[in-house]
Amino acid sequence: MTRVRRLVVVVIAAIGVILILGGAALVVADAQSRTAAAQQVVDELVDYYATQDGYEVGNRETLLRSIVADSIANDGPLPDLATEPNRNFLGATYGAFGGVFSYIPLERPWAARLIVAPVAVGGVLLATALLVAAAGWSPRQRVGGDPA
Amino acid sequence: MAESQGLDPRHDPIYQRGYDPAVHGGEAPADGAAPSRRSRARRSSDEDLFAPPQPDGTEGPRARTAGPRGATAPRDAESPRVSMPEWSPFGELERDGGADERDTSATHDAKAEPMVVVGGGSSGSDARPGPPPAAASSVAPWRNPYLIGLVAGGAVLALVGFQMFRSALETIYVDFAQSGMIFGGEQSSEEAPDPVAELVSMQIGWSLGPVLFVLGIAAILAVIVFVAVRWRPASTAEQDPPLGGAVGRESPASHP
Repeated sequence: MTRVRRLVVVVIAAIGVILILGGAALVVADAQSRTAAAQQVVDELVDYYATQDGYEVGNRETLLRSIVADSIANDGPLPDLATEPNRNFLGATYGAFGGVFSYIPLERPWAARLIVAPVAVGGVLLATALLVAAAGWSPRQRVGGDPA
Repeated sequence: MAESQGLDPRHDPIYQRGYDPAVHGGEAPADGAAPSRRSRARRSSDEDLFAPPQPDGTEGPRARTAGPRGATAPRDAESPRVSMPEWSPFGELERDGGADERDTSATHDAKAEPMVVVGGGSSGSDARPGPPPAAASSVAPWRNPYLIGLVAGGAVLALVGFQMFRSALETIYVDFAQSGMIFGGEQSSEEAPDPVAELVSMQIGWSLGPVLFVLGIAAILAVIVFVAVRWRPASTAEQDPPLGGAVGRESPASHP
């Protein structure tokens, strides 16, 4: 393996590793922020209806899971709390099909399916680096000689 | 190139692709009658290339230099003939037309060493000491550590991605059914784990699971394509030296 080829392999592998780690961190941050946003919506909704007689919104954890699952499964935006002060009630809309008369907020310019793009690109680059290294490998390296 | 129409008259035909001794003539000049167009350095290089075997049984200094794919180099300086492999398009021509020529020189080559396969690589001009590219390509793929790592990593990625996505689906749907939410039953959230951590892991599995699965499958397919591109006919592979022999010949101890 020539020195230039080894340098190319190292650079490609480094870029791939950086993309994989950075993309994984981005996915984790997105998941945490989505959960935090849903948690805020659910808390506000449950706290509001706790003071209203005759309304029961159900278990807090179940509602949180439902909102997050719908948001991630439909590749939708974050859950949002829509307030209609004239009618004196709060409605939580989430997902791509949150409601007929509710608007779909778009709070971030990416979706769950696009946020994994860095991880995919990094994986492809890492596999490419391994293939290039495999193409330059020879059994002479097993003897202990310098492959360069 | 003129590999199919003819050979470049400016250079020695034996070093050009498509050279056939039966067609273009491969008889070497007698000793002491060097071709006039050959320089001294070229003559020295030829003598080095067709040097007789060493007394310890090893090959000459440049006998293992990569040549045209599948070509064989003679070890006898007096009969530098290149024999084509069986799968070569010139192989049949040589077997038919070159029979008489070999018969006439049979007594002359009786004491000659058997032909040694030295070629097969793509870089025919590579004169570095070391195994020819054919040796690396003829090595079994499961001996290449990079390919092993790629296959193993691909399998692990595929399994992990599948399991992550399956776990996310269970978190989304199965837990709902078991808790009775889907079917309108009572919800039991007392024994449920931390919902935030569970939801974060569910989203990570939902997002990364399919990507990791696809990457793993793609890595395995890439290795298959890599091995398929480097695959050669069995007849050629049989002529190549095995890995152990190649390594043994290339060890510094064999060639001081």
